[in-house]
Amino acid sequence: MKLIKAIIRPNKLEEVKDALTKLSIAGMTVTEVRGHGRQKGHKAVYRGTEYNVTLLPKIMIELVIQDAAAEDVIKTIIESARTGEIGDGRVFVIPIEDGYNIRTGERDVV
Amino acid sequence: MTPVGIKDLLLATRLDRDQVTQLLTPYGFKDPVKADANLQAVAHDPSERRVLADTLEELLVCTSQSADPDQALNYFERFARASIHKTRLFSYLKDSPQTMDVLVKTLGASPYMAEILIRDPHHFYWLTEPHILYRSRKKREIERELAQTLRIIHDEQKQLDYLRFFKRRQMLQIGVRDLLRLSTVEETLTALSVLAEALITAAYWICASALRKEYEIPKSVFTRFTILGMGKLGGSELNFSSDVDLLYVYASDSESFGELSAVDYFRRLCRKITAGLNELTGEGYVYRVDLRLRPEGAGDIAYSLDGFKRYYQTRVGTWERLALLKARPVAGNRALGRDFLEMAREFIYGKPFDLKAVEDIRSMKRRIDLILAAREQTARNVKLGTGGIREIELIAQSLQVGNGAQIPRLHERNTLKALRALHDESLLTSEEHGILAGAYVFLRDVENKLQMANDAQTHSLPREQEELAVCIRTLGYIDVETFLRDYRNHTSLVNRIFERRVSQQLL
Repeated sequence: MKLIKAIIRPNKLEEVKDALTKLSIAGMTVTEVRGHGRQKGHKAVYRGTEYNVTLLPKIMIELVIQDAAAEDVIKTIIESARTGEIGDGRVFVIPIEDGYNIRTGERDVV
Repeated sequence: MTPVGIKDLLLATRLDRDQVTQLLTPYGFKDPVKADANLQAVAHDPSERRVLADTLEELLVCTSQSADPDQALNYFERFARASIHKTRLFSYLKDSPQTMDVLVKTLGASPYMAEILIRDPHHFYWLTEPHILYRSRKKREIERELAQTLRIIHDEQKQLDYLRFFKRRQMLQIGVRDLLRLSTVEETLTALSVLAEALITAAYWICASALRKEYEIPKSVFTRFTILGMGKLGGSELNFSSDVDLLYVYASDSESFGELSAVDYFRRLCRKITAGLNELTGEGYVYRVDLRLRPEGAGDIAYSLDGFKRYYQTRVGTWERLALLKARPVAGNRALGRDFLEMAREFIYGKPFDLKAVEDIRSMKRRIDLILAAREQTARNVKLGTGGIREIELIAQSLQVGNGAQIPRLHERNTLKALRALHDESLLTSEEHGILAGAYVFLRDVENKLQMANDAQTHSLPREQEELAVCIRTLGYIDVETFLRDYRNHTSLVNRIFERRVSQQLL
């Protein structure tokens, strides 16, 4: 099993969700986060005072999938979240040792 | 009474009605009690309340500076409710007060823009990225983005739905830039036209690809068809709620593609494109398409180049000559588009612009005047009223058609550019040019703001004094009287020139 963590532009959420649904990935966790990578925020002027907006709004999507599906899922996220501009985000892939269903206590199979 | 601070609106254990009214009245609310109810609804749990309280003063200051503070707060409540994580939203607004200003002024000025934001709250983060908010998007950039996403959607209906979704988001960017005066009126009209062109091109591509697959049509068919933008689209001067006037042209009647004749194929294609643009789905619509400028204004949906030629040879009237002046290829094969323009030029400028033509324009204008008088809109209709946009267009177009045969520089589709060319060629005096161009920009700005109030095709100043007051604040006016004085001033000067130039035949 793999945990896919994707940090994407907020306005790309619907497109990514739609694209993932097509791969029959139904379950995912979506969190609104703030952060920065190479797109190190920007300067703005407000009533004559300059200030830095360093942490930009992003969306984090987390989903757990079978190893065999990883390649397709990663490709789909990249294709649907991409604009070609700095700030498109990142996809991380993390191996998972185990998962359990809380309601049943059973060892989960994705 | 214990003195209370603004944060107490959210953090105090109890406040009475007087205290609430006292705290909120300075921010310009007509109904402070309702405004308070909105504030209470914005933040439910204590952590949200604390974060919002930290930025409450900024929120209220921005609200008070918006065109309609009550409306702004009302929409702010709905917007916050629609977002995934209110605490994150409030903390972002706190760290980035400029974005608070953008958000609240937009919500207070335009229900149309507000509804787009509420429907897709994430568009707000996209909108406030500096490279989106502070510059016009180029056509290339829009087309690239559209193509990138359309490539990964395979279903035709979903592709068309994506166009509707995409249009909403782009309209938000153009609208907010216009409202905050980050773009000039001319830039707004150009941006709206560039967007329409990109979306019509994409709709054509989607429909043609689907039809080609269905009937196994060779790729060469793409060189045999073009779409012409007419009217405001042709002139690159669309407004927020414009219909798009289109003409569909194909190369020749005698060809066939796969099992279909050219006539059959292109009729199917054009019906598909029109339906794709017109159809209202859960995602909205792309554009209302107006095809009434085609031969006879009814009948076949598409014509071959020869078909158009035959029609214009027998039937071209003054009205068609003025309309053809605006034709511009917006999608499909550009070479075929150029062939159409070359053919049209002959009909626009081929015969003199005589007394009969002037009389046609006058009678056309009289018909419009009668309709408006019946609706009691003569002094309120920005587009068709006395001294309105239509009079400016008729002055420019009549002078262009009347003199274009000798002066190719007058072959201009855009009204402001045409006025400039007429002035450079000494067909308008400096004074006339100043009046007409100034009034055109003023009136188009008013029209934009009227249409942005809702996505409605309205051209009339509201009868209700209060509604008018909100509208003129989005134009930068403080009181209705000053606005009406300027409005009357512009329109009476335009009408004087119209009467002199067109009604008295001094072309």
